[in-house]
Amino acid sequence: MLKLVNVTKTFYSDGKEFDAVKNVSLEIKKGEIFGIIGLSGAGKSTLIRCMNRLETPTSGDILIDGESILKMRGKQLIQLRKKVTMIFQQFNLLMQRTVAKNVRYPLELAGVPRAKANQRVRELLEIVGLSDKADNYPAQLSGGQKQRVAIARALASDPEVLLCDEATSALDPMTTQSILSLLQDINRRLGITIVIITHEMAVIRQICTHVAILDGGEVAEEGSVDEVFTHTRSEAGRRLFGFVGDRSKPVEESPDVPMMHIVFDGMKLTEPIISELTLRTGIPINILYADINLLGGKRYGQMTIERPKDEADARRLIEALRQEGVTVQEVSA
Amino acid sequence: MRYAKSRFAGAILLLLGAALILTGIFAAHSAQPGTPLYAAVADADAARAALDAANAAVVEANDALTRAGNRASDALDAASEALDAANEAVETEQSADYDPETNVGALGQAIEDARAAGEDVSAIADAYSPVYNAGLLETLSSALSEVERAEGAVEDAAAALSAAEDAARALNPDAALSEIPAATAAETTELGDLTGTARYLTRAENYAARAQAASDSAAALSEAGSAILAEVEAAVQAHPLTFAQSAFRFARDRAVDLDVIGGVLALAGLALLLAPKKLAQKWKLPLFRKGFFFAATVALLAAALHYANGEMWDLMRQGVFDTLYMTIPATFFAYVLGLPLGVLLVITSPGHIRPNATLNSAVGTVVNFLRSIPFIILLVMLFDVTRVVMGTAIGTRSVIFPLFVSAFPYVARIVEGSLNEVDHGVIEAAESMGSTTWQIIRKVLIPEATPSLINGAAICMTTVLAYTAMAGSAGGDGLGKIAITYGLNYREYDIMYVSSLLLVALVQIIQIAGNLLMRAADHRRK
Repeated sequence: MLKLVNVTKTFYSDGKEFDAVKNVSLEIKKGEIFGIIGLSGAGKSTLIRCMNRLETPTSGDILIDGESILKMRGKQLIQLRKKVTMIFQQFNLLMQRTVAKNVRYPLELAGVPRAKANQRVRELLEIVGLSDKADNYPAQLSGGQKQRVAIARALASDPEVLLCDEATSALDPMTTQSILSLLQDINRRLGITIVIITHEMAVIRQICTHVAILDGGEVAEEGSVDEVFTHTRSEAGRRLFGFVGDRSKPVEESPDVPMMHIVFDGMKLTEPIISELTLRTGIPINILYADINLLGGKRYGQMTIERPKDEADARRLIEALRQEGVTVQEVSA
Repeated sequence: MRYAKSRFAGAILLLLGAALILTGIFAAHSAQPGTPLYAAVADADAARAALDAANAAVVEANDALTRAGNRASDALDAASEALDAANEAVETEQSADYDPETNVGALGQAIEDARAAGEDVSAIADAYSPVYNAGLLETLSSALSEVERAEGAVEDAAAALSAAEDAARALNPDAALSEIPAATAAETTELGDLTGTARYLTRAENYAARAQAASDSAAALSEAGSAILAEVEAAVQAHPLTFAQSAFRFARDRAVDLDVIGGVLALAGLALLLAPKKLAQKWKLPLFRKGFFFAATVALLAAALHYANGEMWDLMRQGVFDTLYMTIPATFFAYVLGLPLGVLLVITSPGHIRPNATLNSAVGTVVNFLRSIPFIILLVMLFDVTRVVMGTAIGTRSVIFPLFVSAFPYVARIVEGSLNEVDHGVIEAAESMGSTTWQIIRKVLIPEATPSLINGAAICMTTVLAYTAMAGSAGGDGLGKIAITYGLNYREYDIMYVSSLLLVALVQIIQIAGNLLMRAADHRRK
């Protein structure tokens, strides 16, 4: 429903040109939780700001449900910003208003009558779990609570898309988790498409369905989270995801040992695959390197194991692994 | 039941306040003839008026008697001096070595010589003519004026005593008052054709006689007077005002004060009665308590100024009123123009919601230019314009215009500073929700900057207050003008210090009030 076509954004400062975003093309379908990850300065912020016209691309096009948003102005732009709302890293709440009045702000803008607006505010505060803080001021809230208020505020105009600009970067890991769960909940219950930009992998891991990796203003890689995590193709991706690192490392450590690279692609938690295989085939498996992660209750990960010296054993092992649905890649020594 | 005591106290206060207000209203009402209360009070008024008149008459009579006594004594001294001088002249004339012809001839020669030499002639005349000399004549004439004054004072004393007697009779027609003695007559000799020293002597003797007569009259009057005055005082004591009458008159004279105090008490009572829980919650806040005590202090100071007695305090009351009369409207209008200008400067700045370099720099230049002109020069520069706008170029009211012109650029810059403090992220969030420019100004920019704006307003008001001290140069009034005039020009330093202290107090009050309001309006504290 949200399509970016060759979007480029160039900034001019001191007579010099700087391309924050270069030829980015993405498609975000309805109901997805789309993550955009990249290091600082990769152009993520600029990109997401183009989606609700806080920035205007220098070239390219952005379409929402087939309609270009670049030519919009005045009333149209206001309508767009009701459909596509945003939450921020620093929360950006109105400090001189109570929580309830903050959430009520978009409704005031739309001219909703007071009583109806207050009723809606109560509903929204329930969704984010802050009904008891309605008359508090933002200064009296913790970071996680402030972001919940921001989320409630962003939901007030019944948006179709929620943009999250590093929404959890200022929160501690536990609070980050609870906010992400809330976002996931909102996505499931209300069907709102969510676009999240972040530099933390944990965020992508926890809730995203699709991810795009931004590096130097360009899309280095994109696809479903499973894909990109397990079959990282780009250099940037590898840098971000940390594990694997250099496949060459284990090779360096033991250059004479033949190795195999196996990839777990969503195995269920309850199956002790490696040890079962060992027991069944009788072939000892020497694990040289392993990085297994949990994504939505499934195991995704990579392992580097020593290739059994016996050729028959090796082939048996590879066959057994492949039967279990594990991808095997042989690494030449 | 927890707040029952507070509600009870509130009810009492409310009733008390209402009673005071009603008293004030009725008392003021009774000042109009024809109203039902007027008759009830009229008697008290008449009685009091008579008493006041009698008291005044007594005081005046006492003063007159004292004066008469003093003048009579002065007259006696002067007359006796004149008598001595006259006697001396007679003796000299009758002495053996006084030859009128020789002396007169020699006198003429001496005068000619003195004139030729440019010396003082009058002293020579005295030396050659102890008989016909200017000193003697002077002494005689001053004795005459002293005597006449004494006689006048005695007459006045008699008249004052008579008035006191009349006042006493008005209070108590049956009062047994003694008669006022008539002035003693003096035995004087006719001057007729008398000449020379004989004339002088006779004159001196007359004056002495008259002085003596005046002195005797003064003494007689004094004696009789103290009796009469005592009787008058007794009459006054015999007609005290009833408590009701005194109370009514007090209420009528202080009607406005009663209404104000009654109003305050009633409001306090109402607050305690209707919302003791909310009040108790607010009272827990240190800021609320500070605000309450601050307001109470200001009220007490205002009351003290209101009731202080004396000419200096009349001056100060007028000064405070004039200073505030200039400061408050000038600051208000400065904000009417300066606030929108400040908003304009902010929203047209680069990177803000309506960037417009041309407009921004145009407004900025005008503001900077006006800011750079010292107020006292601006006052003079604006004379003609002020005359058109305010009708006149001088006077307290007309100074408001140049004050306004001087202040609004300052306000614009201060407002600009306050609005720039608003977190840009918040403005961006408002934009991202589809706010129009006007909505951002009204709902985000100004409300988020409110504490800073309040602080700025206090600063601007104290600045304008400082400028009003120069209002004296434009014929205006106020505490500054009083300090300068009485201090520099009249050298009455106590007035200068008091008015300066009042200026300081006003500034302090504005700053503290601003600070308290700023903190109360700021919800960014935990």
